[in-house]
Amino acid sequence: MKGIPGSLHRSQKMTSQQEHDIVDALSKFLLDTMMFANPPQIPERFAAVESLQALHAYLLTLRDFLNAASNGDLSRQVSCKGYLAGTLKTLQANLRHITWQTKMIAAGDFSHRIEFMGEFSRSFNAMVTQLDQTLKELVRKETKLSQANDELLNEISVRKQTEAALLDREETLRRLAIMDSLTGLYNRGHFNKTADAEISRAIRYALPLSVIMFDIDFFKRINDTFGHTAGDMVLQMVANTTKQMVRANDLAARYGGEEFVILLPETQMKEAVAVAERLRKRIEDTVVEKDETPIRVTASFGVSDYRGGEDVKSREKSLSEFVNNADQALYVSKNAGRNRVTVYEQEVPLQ
Amino acid sequence: MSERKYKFSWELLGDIALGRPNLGTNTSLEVYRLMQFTFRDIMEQHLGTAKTDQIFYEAGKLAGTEFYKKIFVNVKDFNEFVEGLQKTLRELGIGILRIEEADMEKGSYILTVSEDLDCSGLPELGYEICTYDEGFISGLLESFTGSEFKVKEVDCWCTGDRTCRFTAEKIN
Repeated sequence: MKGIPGSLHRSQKMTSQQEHDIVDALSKFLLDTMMFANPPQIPERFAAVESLQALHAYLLTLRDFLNAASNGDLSRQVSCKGYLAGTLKTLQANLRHITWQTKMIAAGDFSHRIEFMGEFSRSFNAMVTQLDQTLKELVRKETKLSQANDELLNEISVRKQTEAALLDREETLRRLAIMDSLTGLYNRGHFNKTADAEISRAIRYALPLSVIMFDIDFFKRINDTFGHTAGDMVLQMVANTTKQMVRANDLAARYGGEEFVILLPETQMKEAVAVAERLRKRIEDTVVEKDETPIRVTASFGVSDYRGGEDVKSREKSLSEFVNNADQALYVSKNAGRNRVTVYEQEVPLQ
Repeated sequence: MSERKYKFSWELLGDIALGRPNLGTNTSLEVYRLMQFTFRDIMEQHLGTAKTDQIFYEAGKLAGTEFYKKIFVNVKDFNEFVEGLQKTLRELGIGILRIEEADMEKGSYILTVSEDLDCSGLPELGYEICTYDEGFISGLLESFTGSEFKVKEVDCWCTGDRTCRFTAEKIN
């Protein structure tokens, strides 16, 4: 203390009352510095006392630091030294370290634990442990859910594959039920069924409907001469040629043995005869090669058109008559020397 | 210097367990500080204060570098580095390390060491004393990041603080 301005001088001896008054004034000033939101300036009478200036500055620094910290600002530097400032710096260091640890935890590192803040540490650590366990449990459940989802998707996939295989098999069976396996043409059963439907349609809409029946000439002789494999090749050649010659809505079928039939919806007799003639010519011109041996075949044709009545009874017998008529015409072709087309004429089959 | 007599290696520390079957691998902290402060005293007399501080910083840096090589293998990130360092420093009784701030991009860190081996409990001296720690931390950080660091102690037990606070800044 360099000196106290005012009425007292060093040489003068202070009375107890005067000393009391000075200490009281200083205590009041220091208390006010700590108590009030707006701290007082050093009273003029003590302004020159350097230790009081240092103490005042120290208190102001601590005030500022505490005020900032209470508002969440932990960045404020405490420039002064000593136990009190050091203790506050330790608190600041702890809180800043907790802040950093919290950031790490938020980033997913749950290994952090606090060990220097008493009950707060225990509560914080319990929270982190709980959070870690909860997240792990969530991840476990999510993984389980994901696995279940994968299994479900797999099950769906397997079921779809099975369903597709079943549909494929069903389609194969359906095709096998209606197709002739050797020639790839429809079989007789399917022809009869479809022909029935076409006759109904022809009656309902008054549409023309024709049928061609044909039979490979001397087929037994081919089998006997060249073998059954050659016979099968001839049947396949005739079937393939037929497929190429008919329209998409025509129905070509193997009727039995070496006999074939073609149903031609919305086709007049005259057009059906033209189809039969072109097919006959194409078969005649096609050569089957068996072991480098050329095999030539011909076929005999019969053509008829639908002539049934509109009543149910006549419709029932119309299909058999319809085909029989073409068959009769076919036999006329056979008897007349084969490799020709014969048109069925009502009552009197003509060559 | 053409020929070195004291080039550091861990082998120089010897097989302590073998050599001290009765006294064990630990000694008193007082003895450690006795050696350090007598070193300071004599060095300062011979070399001056600044050179003494420089030697302590560089010795600490060498220790940090060697320590990193010995302790850490394939550290994948800063968290793992800090976690391993905290655990080791605590187990060896060197101090309690805490991170206050870590900006990896800027290479800027603030960390504290409580109950520090070198200074905790020392009288208030009015200046920071943990020069060896400064070097030690810079050696560790340089080994981890591959960049050079300047580490400065800003708060110390010797300046009346209860924990030592260091700033570390990347300088290249």
